[in-house]
Amino acid sequence: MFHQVKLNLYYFFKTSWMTILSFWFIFLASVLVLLIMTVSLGGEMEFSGFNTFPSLIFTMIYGSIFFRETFPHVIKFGLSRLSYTISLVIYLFLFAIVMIILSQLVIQFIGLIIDLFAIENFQFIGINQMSNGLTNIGEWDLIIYEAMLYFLVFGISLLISSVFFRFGFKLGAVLFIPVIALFFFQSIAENIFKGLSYLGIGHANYTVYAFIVPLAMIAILLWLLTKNASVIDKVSNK
Amino acid sequence: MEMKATNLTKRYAHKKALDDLTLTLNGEKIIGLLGKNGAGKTTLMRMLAGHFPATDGRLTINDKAPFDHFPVTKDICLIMESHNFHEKFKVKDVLNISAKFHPNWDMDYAKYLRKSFRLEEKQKVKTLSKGMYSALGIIVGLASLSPITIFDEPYIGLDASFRSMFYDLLLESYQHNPRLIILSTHLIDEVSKLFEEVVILHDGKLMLHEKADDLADKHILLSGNKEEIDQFAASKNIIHESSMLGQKTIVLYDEEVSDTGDLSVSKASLQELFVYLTKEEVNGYVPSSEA
Repeated sequence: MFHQVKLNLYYFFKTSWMTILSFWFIFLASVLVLLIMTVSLGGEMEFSGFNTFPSLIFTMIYGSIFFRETFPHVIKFGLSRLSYTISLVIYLFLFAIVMIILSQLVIQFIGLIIDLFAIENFQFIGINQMSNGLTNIGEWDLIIYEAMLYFLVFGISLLISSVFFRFGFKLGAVLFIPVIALFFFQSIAENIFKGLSYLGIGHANYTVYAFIVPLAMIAILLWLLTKNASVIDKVSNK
Repeated sequence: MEMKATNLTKRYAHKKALDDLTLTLNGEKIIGLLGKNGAGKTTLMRMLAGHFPATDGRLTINDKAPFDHFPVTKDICLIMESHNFHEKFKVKDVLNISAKFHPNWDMDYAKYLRKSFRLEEKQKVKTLSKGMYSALGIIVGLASLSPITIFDEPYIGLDASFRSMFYDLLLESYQHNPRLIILSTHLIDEVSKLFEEVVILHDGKLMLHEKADDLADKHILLSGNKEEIDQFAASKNIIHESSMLGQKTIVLYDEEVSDTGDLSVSKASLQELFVYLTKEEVNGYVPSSEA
């Protein structure tokens, strides 16, 4: 199994490193263009940026294509579905760490330029510098929280895309109806929102360990979805 | 190496791709897997490679099911006509990744093949022409040296010269590294000499499984005067017949034929035999205005 996990991770790395780096380069370039515009317009323009939203949107989009970019290929190479699921969970963890590191590097780099040229009308921060209204929460708590968000968003996107991959658009959509319908039952919706409060940093219920529940659910559902899955994408029939 | 299908059935939403198929393939040989479009060839090959499970029945390789079973599937390399590789990879990435996944991979041979097919290692898969994409598949299939190597129409878009090179390379590779090679093709005449055994699937069922030599021995093509032919062939297993200007030609299969008299005797090619065995009669189209 260890050998298979290694092979899976190798394939994941080969498919993803360029995409992740491309996103961060494009993102960095965009921020630098905004910085140049802000500086060239002097005091007429101020910019405040926050890098977690774009990277979470990227994570969501990338998570939605990652399954079909990897699952059929590694299975065609003969790897088992269980090894794929285990490797996915490990990859989610590694992905979150890499995203945090790159996110911090971008913030530090922009911060360095701002300091170097003493730019006053440009502000660019990460989630760890967002302390408004949050008490008793340290910088590392916020960094870990950001990592958990990457983990969760990637996992949910993977899960949704794997449902469509396995069952196609129509049946996939039908399968999501009961999940959406739950929110129309007030008592259930209240419980869901109460559960979500454990994941909201700044909320009294928040604890980082609460992320274990959705992540475990994602891992189990992914395994159930893949254990007898064909390599044929039911959306594209390829 | 033994591949055994027992009452194997694969049902898709609206049709049966494989219908109660029982078949055993074993040994180190090149086997031709033939059949019309939709006969179930690709489904059988993909199930061998563990792409999806059977609906019913049993499929084993050395008594172990290939579906989701790495110890079995690591020794299988299936090259299809498309969807073999991720399109964003370069040729060299495909070769490097394949080297990691195929335990018997021969990188020197892969590089030799890449040069032979004139593929640029920095070219991206998505920019390859149809023929070059096929060439990449052939390179991976041959260099994998997998104990079970399966090619499903691997030559789409390849010109006649490269196809001929593929057949030579396939034979050469088999001679240096004997293994079970299954080749599915519609260009039967081009490769028939490579086959040691021939399997013909028809409507998801096994129509024929013979050694190529036996197949040649088991049939006879007779031509001559129509009355003489009809008299001679009465109650015999005729798989094909055609008449013109009082002359008739028939192909008999699996019949003991001794004294053919004045009738002309010859042999059909494998492709002709395949057509005779699988051709379905169509009723001529009659426009509704004439009906």
